[in-house]
Amino acid sequence: MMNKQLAFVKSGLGLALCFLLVGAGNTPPLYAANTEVSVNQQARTVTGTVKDAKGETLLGVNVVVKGTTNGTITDLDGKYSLEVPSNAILEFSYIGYVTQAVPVTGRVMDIVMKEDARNLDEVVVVGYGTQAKKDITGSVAVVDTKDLLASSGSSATQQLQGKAAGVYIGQNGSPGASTMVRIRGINTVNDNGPLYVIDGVSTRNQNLSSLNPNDIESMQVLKDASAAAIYGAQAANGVILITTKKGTQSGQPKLTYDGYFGIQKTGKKYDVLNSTDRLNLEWEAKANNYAINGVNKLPSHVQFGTGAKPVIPNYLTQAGAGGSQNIDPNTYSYPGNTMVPFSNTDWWDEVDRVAPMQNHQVGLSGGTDKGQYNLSANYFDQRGTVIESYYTRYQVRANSSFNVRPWLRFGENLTYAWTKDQGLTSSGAEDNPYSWTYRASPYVPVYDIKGNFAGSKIAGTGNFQNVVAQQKRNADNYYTNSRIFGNLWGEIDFMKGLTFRTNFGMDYTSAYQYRMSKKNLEFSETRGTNDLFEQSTFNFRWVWTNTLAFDTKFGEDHSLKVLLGTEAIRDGLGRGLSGQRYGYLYENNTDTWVLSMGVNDLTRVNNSWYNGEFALFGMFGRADYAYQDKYLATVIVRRDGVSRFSKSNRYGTFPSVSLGWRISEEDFMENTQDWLDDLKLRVGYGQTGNAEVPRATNFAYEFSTDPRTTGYDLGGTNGTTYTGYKLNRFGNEDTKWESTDMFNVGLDATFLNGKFTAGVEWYTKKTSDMLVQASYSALAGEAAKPYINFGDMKNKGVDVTFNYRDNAGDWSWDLGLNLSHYKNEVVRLAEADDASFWGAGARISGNITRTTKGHPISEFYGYKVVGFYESEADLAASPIPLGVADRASIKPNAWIGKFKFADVNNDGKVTTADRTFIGSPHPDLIAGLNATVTYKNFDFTMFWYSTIGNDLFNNNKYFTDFWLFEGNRSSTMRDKSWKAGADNSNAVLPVLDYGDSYSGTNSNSYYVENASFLRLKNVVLGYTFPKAMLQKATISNLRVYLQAENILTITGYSGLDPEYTNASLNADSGNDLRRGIDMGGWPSTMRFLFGVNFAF
Amino acid sequence: MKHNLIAIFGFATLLTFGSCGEDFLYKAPQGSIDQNALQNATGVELVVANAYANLTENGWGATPFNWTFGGMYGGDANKGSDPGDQSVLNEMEMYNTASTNGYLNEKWVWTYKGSKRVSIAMQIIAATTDMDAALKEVRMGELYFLRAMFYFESVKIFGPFIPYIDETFTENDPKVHNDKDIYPNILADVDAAIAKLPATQPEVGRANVWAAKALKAKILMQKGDMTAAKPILKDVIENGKTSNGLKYGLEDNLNNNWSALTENGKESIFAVQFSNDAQNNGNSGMSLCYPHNSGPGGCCGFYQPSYELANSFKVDANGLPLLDNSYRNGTSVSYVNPSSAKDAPISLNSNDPVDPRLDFAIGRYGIPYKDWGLPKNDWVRNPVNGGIFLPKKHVYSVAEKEAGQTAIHDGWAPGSTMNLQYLSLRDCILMYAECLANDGDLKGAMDLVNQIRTRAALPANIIKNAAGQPAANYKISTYPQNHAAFTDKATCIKAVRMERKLELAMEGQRWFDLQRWGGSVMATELKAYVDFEKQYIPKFAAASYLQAARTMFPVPDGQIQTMGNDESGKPYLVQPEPWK
Repeated sequence: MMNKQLAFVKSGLGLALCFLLVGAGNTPPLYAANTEVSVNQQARTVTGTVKDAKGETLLGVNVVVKGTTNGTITDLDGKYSLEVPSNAILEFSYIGYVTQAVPVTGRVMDIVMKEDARNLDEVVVVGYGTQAKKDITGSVAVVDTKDLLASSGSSATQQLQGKAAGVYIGQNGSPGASTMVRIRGINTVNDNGPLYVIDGVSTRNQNLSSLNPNDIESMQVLKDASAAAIYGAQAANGVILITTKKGTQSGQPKLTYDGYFGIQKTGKKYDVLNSTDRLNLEWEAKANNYAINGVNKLPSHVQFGTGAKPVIPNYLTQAGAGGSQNIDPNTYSYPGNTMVPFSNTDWWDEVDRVAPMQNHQVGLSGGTDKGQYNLSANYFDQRGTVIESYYTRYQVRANSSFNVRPWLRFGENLTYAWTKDQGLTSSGAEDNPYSWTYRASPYVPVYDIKGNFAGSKIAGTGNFQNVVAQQKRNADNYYTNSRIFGNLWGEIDFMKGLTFRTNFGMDYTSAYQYRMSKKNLEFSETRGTNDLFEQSTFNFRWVWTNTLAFDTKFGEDHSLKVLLGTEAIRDGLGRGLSGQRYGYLYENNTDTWVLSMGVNDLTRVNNSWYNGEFALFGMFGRADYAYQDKYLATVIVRRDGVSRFSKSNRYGTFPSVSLGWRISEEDFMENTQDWLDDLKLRVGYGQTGNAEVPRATNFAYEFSTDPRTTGYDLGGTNGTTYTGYKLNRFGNEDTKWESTDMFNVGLDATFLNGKFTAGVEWYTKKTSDMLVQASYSALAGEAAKPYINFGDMKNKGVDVTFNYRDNAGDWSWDLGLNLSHYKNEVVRLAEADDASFWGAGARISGNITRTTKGHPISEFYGYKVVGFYESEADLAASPIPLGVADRASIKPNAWIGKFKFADVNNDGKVTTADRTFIGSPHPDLIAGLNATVTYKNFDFTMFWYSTIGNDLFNNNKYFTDFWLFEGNRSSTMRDKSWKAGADNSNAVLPVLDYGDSYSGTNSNSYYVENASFLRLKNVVLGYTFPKAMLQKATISNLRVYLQAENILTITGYSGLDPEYTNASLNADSGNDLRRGIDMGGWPSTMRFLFGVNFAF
Repeated sequence: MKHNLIAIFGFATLLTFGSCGEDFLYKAPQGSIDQNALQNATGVELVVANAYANLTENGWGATPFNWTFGGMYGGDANKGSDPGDQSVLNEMEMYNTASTNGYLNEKWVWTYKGSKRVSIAMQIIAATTDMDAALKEVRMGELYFLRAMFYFESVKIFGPFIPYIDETFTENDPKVHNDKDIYPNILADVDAAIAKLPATQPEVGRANVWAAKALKAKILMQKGDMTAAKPILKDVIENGKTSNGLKYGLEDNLNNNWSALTENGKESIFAVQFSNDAQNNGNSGMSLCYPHNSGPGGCCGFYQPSYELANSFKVDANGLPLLDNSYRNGTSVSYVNPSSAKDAPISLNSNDPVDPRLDFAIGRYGIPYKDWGLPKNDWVRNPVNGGIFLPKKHVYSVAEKEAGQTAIHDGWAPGSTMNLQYLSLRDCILMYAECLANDGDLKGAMDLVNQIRTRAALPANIIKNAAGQPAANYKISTYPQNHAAFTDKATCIKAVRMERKLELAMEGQRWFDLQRWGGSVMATELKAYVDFEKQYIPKFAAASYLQAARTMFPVPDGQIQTMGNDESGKPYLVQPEPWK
């Protein structure tokens, strides 16, 4: 085997060769010589001002002598000055405006630019280049950056929600929350996160919070294979292209400030009881339990005595007060004998708060035709609605580009971001701060009678953590991330239409954290000790892309663009290191928080690990051909090799073809021209690949050691173990690319000079040779199963967009509606037809979701509740209840009033075979409506978002609606439980029975709820100060606005937030196998903001 | 222009050949090594240690100390804790187990995990050439021993019709039907272990030949083959010694078997060596089984001894067990305190005479709990659900805690370095007594029982209160020669079985004993248990009676699905008849 370093050098050299060969072939000023401007005998200077229809001056308008490169741009006051030959024609162009060609008639030429509502010539970034919108044949969603920025949020992916058809975003309200992005359904059981390409540098890091949304110039989503195939290997889940703001040729620097400040608050709380109702409920359930079981006993509780009614003692104690009124508070001692008064604690209110949020961004941009720059700095601070939680980001960016010669350009984009929080627990889980609010006993106050934290050490109150104590103790914990992301590029024009570009990008991330888990002596299951954990990790990725672009026309009718390129990627260059020690004597003194201050005994732990190196090399080509601007064709081929697979399976080739027909350009459409601006039919087919398995070397069998699982104390010392090695991972040499075939048909139309635009797209895609973790049986042992190619998955869907904009008088409006629908189906998963992937919830026995053939990924699976066993007669007439061996063994009292599960297979008894599909987390429709209305200087924006037809599995109800642990209970349990002899037509829960471990234990349809919702996500009211007023101070723009978010939600879902999608929003492999299990978490927050946009 | 063409050509060449290639795209696995690197003397030690590590790498369902399947299911204890906590255990303790129960799957998975570790180690030994041949044999013997034990654990739970995989299977995902009785395979393994293992080992944690013989006897007993087990047990009891060379004998002080400070003594035939060097090596399988709140361990309050077990320790006026089951009549040895006033203990104790081992096996209010003083009310998590008794044997003492012999499981639950004896001399003695009783050697059997009782009566084993007096009305004596057990075979068998229940209480053995004594014995005993228990813990009123045919648990549902069907469409795994 070749020395690794040498191999690296060699491969590096190979790559360098790609660049050098091209560079060496170039002798400088060929192109420039061809187009040298001859000095005209009758040259003269033309000056003028360019304004828009409203009379406001336009900055940066291109002014060029037609047919030459002689040109300039307008300055801050819209003025230009250009030396022109006689008989010249001046071309004025500006993005978003109709290009005008005006013959030179005098020395002063003032121009009024007309807005181009059709936007057909708008240039859109596509893979490794740009394309005019009208020429696009694939499926590309162009996101309006203004719409995007209208919402607040720490990352652009949060703001993307509802802004593009076919893109499904999941998020929550925790500070700096991560986001789940799914493009057109779900492709695989593995990683479904899209590829992000930022300024030409690809990254799979799904955490975009280190990218400041205000830096984004444009955002495009490549949805179908014919658009995305150029990113071949990594494009199966779609591609999101982000271009950051570049400098301008304004000459004079432009200083901008954008900022907002506001507050966030939660809406709905968990529906739980006050102390008295909670206590009475328990008494009733305990009494019923005795009655049901035929025991002649009275309910009892260590604090409230034994009797027909509970007796509230003067203090609740650690040992149990037994209803005593004579507890002597002087016997208090901490931590051994604490006491609290019987309280009515609303734990939600104790831990929830109104939290401020602010964002400040300063930008400086400018430049000349020789060089441009854009600098920005950002401070974002979001306090969480849970006390002591926060997320803060500091970020700077420097983008610049230089035209060294007209044929030679260089540039760079670079951003550095540093974020900090105190260790947020944003995932949906039973130990999320908000989950503790229902798991805690309302009897116990936050503080005991001496001001120490109180908790479940008070006997009979279960095993809850005092969440206020937890948050306060964690306040000084330190979690940071830093990220450097950027690229350096060079471009050279060999001749007209032939451009070579090289682009080297890097993505360096590092994370550093330490946290003290302080003693929690008020907790009934306290460890009684503390520990400090410290961890540092880093990762480096680089991407080197080289492309050659050729653009030409043959005659009048044929235009051809060809792009050839190579790309090399290295990733996973990084390691991690962690250490942990226990027994800190001064846990509250943060100055003692270093590992060496902990006890040096056998409990100390240290670890280090590799991230797992990854390499990719790709070659690609793309050809865009147009005939008469009417018939369009794009062909793409990409061939990629990745290091994850064995040598023989390393490469995959991904082709695509797409065709476009601009029907409106046909002669027979001439009659429609007065109302139809553009009509285009697009058809595309392509293949993309996926190699994203969470293993760097899937082909190899790997042995490793881990003291927790492989060490054994053969020597009998009690304090050491002999080291063991185990087969940790199976390998598979045969594993190859997962590929997705996608067919897309789209129809785009623009009417009435751009007033209406509409698009409909229909797609079907099939993922085959899906990379699934082999489902070996237990007989294979413990080693992690290799990823193999098995299984197919299908997605079908429709994306619809509709836009209407117009103006009348001082009014103008812009309405955008986007609708998406997808249908996901697993076609094949393994040899065995009913082989499945399963997903578990919190505390519920067995699994909740099932992914199997013929169903979408992650459907809810369990018993179907069909009512209650109403009476002994009903019981006798019903199938034998779950788990009971035969009819003779049924004890009627134990079953009357309990859930009756459906006997799906009609064999006369309810068994595990009667579990069935009870709901689906996938919406039938995802809709976003963006509306902007402006009147004079006022602007008003509204954004509605809705999903329809999706269910959630409300796992929290296991804690609040059944007798799991001793936490709080819901009003549903109080008001809607089945009662013997009562009218039970409204009952949804079984008879109150303290010993009932049947009803909630297994996954059943009681937990499944329709989670369709319509939410007013955003309302903004803005006022822009009149230009005239500002001009004296040479301020070019000043706008202030008020904003409110998430202020109205219409839903039938009983949980906190119907917007819930995945418990963990990260793109980790396998998260989609547990879609829609609501295990608690951080709800979307209402926000009220005041903001300013300022440009100087 | 010419230069440009060269450039384009050069670029195109690069594209075509992709020379930026092979080395760039090969990445060796990081942070691991491959099997070849382990095929040497050092590697063998590493993979053998790993096979042993399966003994400590297990969860609540997989632990070979079987507090769930052996203890709870056999009526020694109930689940404890809150009703909903680990609610899947409720269906087991109510005898309504579903094949989806995760505890079943855990045990199944553990067995095959261990089996695979053994297979890999055997394959590596076979490929190793630089190792001392004799040592190779010893290591092979240890591996055979471990494999026999891993499979035996599943056979006790699922019955002998389960797949058997050994080192000759080289495919990643073996497919085998569960249509063969694997007792012969396990016995062949244990015979191979006996043939290869030495009498002593340099490390006390390794199995020796005597451990293998004891295991063989235990397997044969479970299989119901007392004839074959009997001579082996005799041999073990008379001639056996520990891996570190101690001749087998009963400890005088019972506590010596249940303390990290005195472990690996003469009574321990094969113990699982727990350690606190890493978070999960301190008996994580029993991390839930500690008293709650301010109690030792301060965790989860599971595995609370049953009323039925506690009352079994009642004795007659002569200090002998009540073999007529009359212990189920009258006042319970402990009962809920009618006063729930402040400072009133949860329960009170009757003054009826009891076997002193009651308070050794079971924590009771008013009786010193090891060296922790009297139990506090909050040690029981939820008396309504779990009753009034506390687990005790495996819970560490203050002395052990102060000596640093505690551990942490997964950063939250308690653990201990206290070894637990998978095979012990007391167990072998009582099994041998069964064999003798079965063959009609009633005196021989009762002499062994009396040996056990004599030890239990030693002063060291009488728990004293703060005043230095016996903490309860303890009474224990040996069976006199004129007792019916010396003359009547049925009584003798009863006495031996009762002794086993008392001596091995809370050691995770009970259900396996009931099971091997036969379906009808099991069904009768467990019916009596449920009927007795429901007088005190109402939830048992809803319990089913376990059917006599269900002497095994169902095969885990998920495994049946994952294995699928063979080419002829026949499922690889089939539920045993009583569970169909």
